[in-house]
Amino acid sequence: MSQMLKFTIFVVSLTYVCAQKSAIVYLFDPTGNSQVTGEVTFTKSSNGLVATGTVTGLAPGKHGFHIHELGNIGAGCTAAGAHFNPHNLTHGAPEDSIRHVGDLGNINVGALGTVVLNLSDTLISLEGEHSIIGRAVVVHEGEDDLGKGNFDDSLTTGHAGGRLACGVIGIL
Amino acid sequence: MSTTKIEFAVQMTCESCVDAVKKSVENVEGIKSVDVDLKTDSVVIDSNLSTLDLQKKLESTGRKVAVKGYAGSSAAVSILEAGDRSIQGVVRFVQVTPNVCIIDGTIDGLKAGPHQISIHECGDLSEGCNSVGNIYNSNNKSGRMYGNIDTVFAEKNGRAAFRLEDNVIKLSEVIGRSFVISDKTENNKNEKKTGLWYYC
Repeated sequence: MSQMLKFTIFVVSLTYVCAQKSAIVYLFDPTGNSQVTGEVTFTKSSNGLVATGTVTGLAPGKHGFHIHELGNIGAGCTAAGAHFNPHNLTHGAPEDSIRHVGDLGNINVGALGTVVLNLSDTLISLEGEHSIIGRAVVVHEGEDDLGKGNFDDSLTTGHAGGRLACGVIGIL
Repeated sequence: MSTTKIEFAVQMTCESCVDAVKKSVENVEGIKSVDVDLKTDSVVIDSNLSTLDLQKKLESTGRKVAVKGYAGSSAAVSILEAGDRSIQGVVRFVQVTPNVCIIDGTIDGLKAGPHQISIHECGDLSEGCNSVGNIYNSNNKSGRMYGNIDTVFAEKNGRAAFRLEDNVIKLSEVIGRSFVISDKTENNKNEKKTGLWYYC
């Protein structure tokens, strides 16, 4: 019996080491043009991943907030490529069934230029096919129209405009 | 020695440019094959040489050369961004077979001498080199601490260029963690630089 218990404890502790429970991204503007900075932590919960943290230095209002396919933050965040989209679908809102995995919608920035983030998403993950680790978070200049704006790029980028800040998602 | 295919973007305007480029990497030991495509400005070289060595050879033709990446294999990159501001570098990581990975990097701005390169457990750069945690130590049978890659040497000009074959580290286990280079000499322990491994 005690042998059995030891074995169980060993397995549990091993899983604990292997399974990633949280990840972090440090957001900044690699070009140094904007003063946007931020820190967002992604933590596993029963409702999927919960993103918490703050982003500062943004203009008040809504800004597109997405996970991009690549972790390369070169060339003013453009090297991060398109939205993380492993199933090759069109752009949408986080609550839509047809969306990119990386579509996290908008963050709503208050009058002082800071947003305290607390959003959850059931599609993004810290492991497997939807794993966001090693990819980039990008904060956009404009509002994400969630694919419903009828602009040329509404169904690809949500017409969210330029990239103000980005960072690579790392294991925490 | 395992070979890897590296793709370069080389400015080429005519067939004679293609010949010049081919000539610059002809009869070089370690190069298995060279494919040049004039239309896309692409040069793919299959070799066991470091990215920097190949880039230098291509640049000897007087053309602008940029590294586009590793062709046809799973790869990751770490751009060293956090830590000591005077140090700059890029490290590439290619899993060539399930048991062999190539770690290929060029790092500038170092003090001449030995430097430790390692993989640290966390990918948290919020406090630069101070928040990346300890050297990554997963369960492994190799007898070495997993993330303890090797020692590399910086030349007098401050550059360390290396291409290592590693049988311990796996691509899937480094993504999202950080790469750290630190000075190994006693009097200069503070010189450190780090960056995150990401998909490319």
